[in-house]
Order: sequence, then structure tokens, then C-alpha cells
Amino acid sequence: MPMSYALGSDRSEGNILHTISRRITYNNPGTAVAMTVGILPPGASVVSGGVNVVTTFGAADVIDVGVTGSASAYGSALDVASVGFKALDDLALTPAVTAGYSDTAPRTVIATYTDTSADAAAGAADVIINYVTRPVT
Amino acid sequence: MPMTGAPPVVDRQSSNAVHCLRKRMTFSNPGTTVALTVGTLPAGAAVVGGGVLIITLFNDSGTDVIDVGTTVDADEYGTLLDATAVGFKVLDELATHDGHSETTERTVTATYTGQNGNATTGVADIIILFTHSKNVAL
Repeated sequence: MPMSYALGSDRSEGNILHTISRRITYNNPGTAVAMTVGILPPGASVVSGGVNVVTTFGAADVIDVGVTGSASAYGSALDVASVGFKALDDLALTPAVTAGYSDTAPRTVIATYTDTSADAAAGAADVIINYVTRPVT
Repeated sequence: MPMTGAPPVVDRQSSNAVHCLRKRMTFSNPGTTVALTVGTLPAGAAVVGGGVLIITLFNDSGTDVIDVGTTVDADEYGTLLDATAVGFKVLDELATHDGHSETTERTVTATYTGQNGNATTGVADIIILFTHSKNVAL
């Protein structure tokens, strides 16, 4: 197990890619209602992820992925009108760190579906967040 | 542990996870143009992702960039990643790197360069994601 950290302070679980995921549908929790995907521990860094659309939502419908207080910190207006894996598109931007990262506090990840035309009768997607934890020092 | 069929005898459970190296650098530690050792990749490791998480922007009066690579090639995995704005800057050279080795370890390094050497802020975590290929029956 390759490490750059001091011996004795290592944790094996800190050296793998972690993930949290949760399903969201067109009516659970419903349009414009934030769904809690999970909680990142302090120091967790989101490195990838996205929304895997398994059943199409309505035309022009979107999902934001972020944290409490910054609903689109990781991904904004991800297209869910077609099936497929829609990668998080905002990880390189400032809110992904200023709101989505903390050395000392956990972050609650949320996903918010917007039924743009207010006519959705179908739609299911898994929100997936890949992250690494901070080394113990 | 996602598997299809019986695992090979030589397989190891740890080979079926994405592993990571992560280490923090700042504008002054180790300092401009000085390579920071991030960690060591085992023989056969394949780098599959990663990047530089800029937590506090670097503020040299000139350019601020970070290279990520190895002791053999300092920008093997990422070249001139912009450190002047916070955010996760993805490694941009993985599609063309030639640093893989089946037989020897690779020491991963990161090098910050402040053009004028006068930065007073800057914090970043270097993150390397990799898988083991060694000991997996092909």
C-alpha cells in the first residue's frame, strides 16, 4: 500500500476512492425540492461523479448537484431529458471548493431536480459522487 | 469486489479498488520550482484520474502553475495546471503519458512554479487515482 504519510497514522480506508449514490425520480422528492444524497466527511475531496439517468425525465428537465447552501456547486443544469451518465461539470469552478470543500466540517451533498415544463410523468436517475478522504497527518 | 467468475489465485482484493495518493502543498512548502514528493506508485500501477484541488489560490504577480508527474518526467500526468483560481484541476496528460512500468515503482511529484517567486498565498492538494494491475491474471 503506497503511502506518503507518516507510518502509524495511516488508515487503509483513506487510500481508496469512495462513493456515495442515491436515486432520484421525477416525483421523489419532486421538482425543485433538494434531496440529500449523503454527507462528505471533513477533508473529503470530490474528484468525479455525475447523474446516471436510467429513465428519461421530461424535455428540458435538469438536475443540479451541490451542497447545502450551494445547490449547484458540483454540477449545474445537467440534462436529464435523455438516458446516460451526465458527468459533474463544475468541479473546476470556485464554488466546488468554497462551498463544496472543507478541511474541518462535513458537507451535505444534495441533488435538485427541476421539471422545467411542469409535465414530467417519468424519470429516474442515480446521483453518484466519487471522493477521496484527507490523509491522516 | 466486482468479479466475473472465480477470482484468480493470485488476485488480491486490494487490486479491485481505485486507490489514491494525496498530499498538500503550499506556495512556500516546498516552494517554487521545488518538486514535492506526493507518494510512490507500486509497480504495475495505472493512473486513471486525479488532479490538483486548489483550496487557496496562488498569488504570484506572474503566472502560478503546478506540474504533476514523476521523478522521471515532472509533467508526466499534468502540465501547467492553473493555480490562480480555486477548484479541482483535472490531470490533463493521462491520455498521452508514457510513465507506466510493470516492474518498477514510480515516485509521483508535484512542482509549483510562481513566475516571479513572490507568492504569499496558495494551498493545494495533489490527488492521484490509480489501480493495481500487478498480480492480476490477464
